[in-house]
Amino acid sequence: MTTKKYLHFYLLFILLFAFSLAIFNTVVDPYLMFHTDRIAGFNDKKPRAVNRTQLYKPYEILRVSPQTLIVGNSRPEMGLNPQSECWLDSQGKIYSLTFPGLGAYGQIRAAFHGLATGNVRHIVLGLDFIDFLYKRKKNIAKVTWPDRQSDFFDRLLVDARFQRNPDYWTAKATDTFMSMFTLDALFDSFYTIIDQSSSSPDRTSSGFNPAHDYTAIIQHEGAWVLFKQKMGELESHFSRPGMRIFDTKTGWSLELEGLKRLIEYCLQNNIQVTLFTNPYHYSYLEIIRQAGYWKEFENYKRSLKTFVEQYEKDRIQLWDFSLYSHYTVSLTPTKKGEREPDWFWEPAHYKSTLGDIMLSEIFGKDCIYGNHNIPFGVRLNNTDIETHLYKQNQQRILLIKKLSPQS
Amino acid sequence: MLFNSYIFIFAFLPITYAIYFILAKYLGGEKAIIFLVLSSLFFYSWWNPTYLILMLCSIGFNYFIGETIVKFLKQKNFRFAKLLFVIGIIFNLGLLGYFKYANFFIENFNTVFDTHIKLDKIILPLAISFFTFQQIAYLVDTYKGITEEFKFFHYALFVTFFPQLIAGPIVHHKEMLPQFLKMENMKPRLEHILVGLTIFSLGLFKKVVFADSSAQYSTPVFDLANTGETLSFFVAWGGALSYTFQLYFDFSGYSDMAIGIARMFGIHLPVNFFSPYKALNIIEFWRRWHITLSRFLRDYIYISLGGNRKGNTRRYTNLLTTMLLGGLWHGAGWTFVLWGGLHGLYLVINHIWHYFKNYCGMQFLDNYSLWKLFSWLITFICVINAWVFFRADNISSALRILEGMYGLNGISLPNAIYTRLDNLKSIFDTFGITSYIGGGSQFIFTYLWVGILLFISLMMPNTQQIMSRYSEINSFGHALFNQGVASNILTFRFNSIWAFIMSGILILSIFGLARVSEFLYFQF
Repeated sequence: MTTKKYLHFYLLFILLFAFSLAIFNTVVDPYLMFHTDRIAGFNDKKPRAVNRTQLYKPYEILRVSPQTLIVGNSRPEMGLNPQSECWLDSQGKIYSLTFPGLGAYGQIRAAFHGLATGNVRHIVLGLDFIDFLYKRKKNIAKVTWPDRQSDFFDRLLVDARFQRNPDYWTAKATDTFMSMFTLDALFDSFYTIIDQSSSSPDRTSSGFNPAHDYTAIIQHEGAWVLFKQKMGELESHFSRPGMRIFDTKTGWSLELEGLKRLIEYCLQNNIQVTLFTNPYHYSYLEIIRQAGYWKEFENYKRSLKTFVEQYEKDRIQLWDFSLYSHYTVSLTPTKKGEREPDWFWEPAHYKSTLGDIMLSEIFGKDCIYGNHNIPFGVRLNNTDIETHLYKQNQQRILLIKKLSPQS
Repeated sequence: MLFNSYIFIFAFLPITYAIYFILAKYLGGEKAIIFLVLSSLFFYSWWNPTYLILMLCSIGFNYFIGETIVKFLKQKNFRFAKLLFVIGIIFNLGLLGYFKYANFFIENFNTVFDTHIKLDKIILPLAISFFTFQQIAYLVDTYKGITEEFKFFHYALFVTFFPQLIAGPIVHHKEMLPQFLKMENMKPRLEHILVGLTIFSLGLFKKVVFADSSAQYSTPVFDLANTGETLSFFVAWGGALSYTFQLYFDFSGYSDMAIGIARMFGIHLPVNFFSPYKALNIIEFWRRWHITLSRFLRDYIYISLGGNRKGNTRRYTNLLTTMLLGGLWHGAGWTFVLWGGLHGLYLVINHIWHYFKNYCGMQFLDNYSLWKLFSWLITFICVINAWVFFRADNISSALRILEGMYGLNGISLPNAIYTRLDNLKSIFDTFGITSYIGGGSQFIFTYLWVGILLFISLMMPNTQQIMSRYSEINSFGHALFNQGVASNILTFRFNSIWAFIMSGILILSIFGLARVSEFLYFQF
């Protein structure tokens, strides 16, 4: 073959390869970027999207255009199912704009993005102690609300001041290109096709994490594995000294500043806000206590209570689920064969069955089947915080005592 | 600028290529060469323009010294020629010493003598080791009367030619300049473009697919060692093996890309890698690994020290010294010195063994497949052990990985695998194999990937063999290259099947230039 003829073949094949691979990636859609049909046994499960929620969720929410928004980290992503029957019909379409590992600042920026989509009437925000507790600069005079830059923030419709983000379209074009014309996307397309079992990690089209992978681990290895791994990580995290929840001496922080801005926007635009603290298994609470951060934990709740008091009770709800309760205090599995707790996957992540109980209490809807009539959450708007914290300490002693074999 | 970037592939390379040949056609070769030098300087300064001045000073000074040495040699004024030669060598070593080793030297001086001499962190200028070595070789060759240069831009092109500027291959003036000046190389040829593009694609594929993917398995292990974690047997081996392949495919891929780009210009660069992991002994390994550096070390250090001319003891001392300096050349750190030292030691042992084998008449061993397998295995393990020092941030991290590799921290499997191998429980108990939580899929992917790359490294022909119909692989007289030419089916030729294969490789490589970022995070 002459070099000229070879060149023709070569160029033709280059074009064919490039476009057929791009079409393949679009059809399989491993990152949920294109919303092509999810075909059972082919591309229904999206195992490679689970570590890329920061890539696709900012775009996916635009397609869903929800009236109710769940915001938070991996806990509400796994715990609050947008398809649950416990939501009120009036809440319309619900989307879980939740991101594993994203701190409070990022969650609030994500909430801004969600609100900028235009139809949101209700925002449900899961607050997490661990997002408030970290090493801070010592007692700064005034908290400022920064406009941080990152790939994730480029994907949001608005910036930290709620102004239009000029980088949004560039980011979207880049992400679309990357999801079609990269080796990662190609590899992940193949991986998606191969990994279509019932235990494959996945995200639903409403942003929920059904935790199939956790189910598989429990089935094969036992719940103790998840507990052991997570408790090790938690112990290591909370062993860091010098973490605090406030930036200023007056008890203000970046997180509260962000919440303030979010709530003020919601009030101005007649959007309802529900804040709640995520439930932890009691073993998590015990680690906080043993690490010497219990006082900070109580101050965190006090600060939230004080914070919401400045707003009308009907407009802003604050619920506490980070509690010692019938639901959170149960035996920790320590070896194979020991049952997992009814309401938790592991110390840090609650199941959506517990999420349903939380929703039924928040919205006052009778949606729980079976005998689960014991109340769980405490609405802090209506509660004296000191009495609540005192009761919690009593509750702890009582419930843990019940767990011991002698009782 | 990196070869494996969109800006290089889609902008710099085609634009430079087109302008170079247009200038050569309409304004003549000299103008084209000047343009190529300027383009190469632009390519270099893309990273950090500050160090462009340093490189220009180095080129200017070496050119002046070289030119003057030639003049003195022609006047038979050998004393001044020698004086200038010594000045030139001191200048180059001084430059390298200051920019690459000053911090290292001061740090160690302070430790040993408990002093507190302060020196700001000196940023290592890109490619200084390469362009300095290349110019030292030029001065030596000039002083020996092997080469000479009287045109500044010719000399500048020899140093800065962008395909080989950043990471070699290290070239000699005498093997490069005549090629640039060939009239036929001043016209673009479709065969050169296609062959060059094919070699470039193979290199790019090695870099972005094989090397970069290996990094995700090696980096976490070395990072863990840095944090002081103890590593179990399989984890440590997984990390070391992944790095072994990462480095090979990264560096040989880069060399292939350089060779391919140069070939598009009609320039043949010397082969730099020739399936090093197929080596059956460490001497052979160094004939296959970073060949142009080995050539430099042999010609300009080992032989200058006396080589093997002064008895075995001196020969081994020279070998060890050469490899220690070779180690230090790779980086200013004790880990690199140890890496070089280990290879020096391996070479000495290998030479002694050869001597002993010949003395005892045991050459027949080399005919047995089992012996070859044993030789390969021991060579490969030695190489991997040394790479641990090469990659680790410090000696204690390296030792931590080696502890794991030699089972000092026990043998364990991810729990997800361990529990699925219930039938082997009794064997696990006998050998004290335990389990650890997490890392199951990482474990499987690591060893799967290592297996694939091992197969490719050992069973597949290398780039030079694949391209043997169109590459002058013997152009620099390397005897080893006569050994293996790929089977007919794996040898590139201009036909539709190869067009299909190479277009696929090119597209996959280009797809690999960018990554879709992941957000791996353990939510507490």
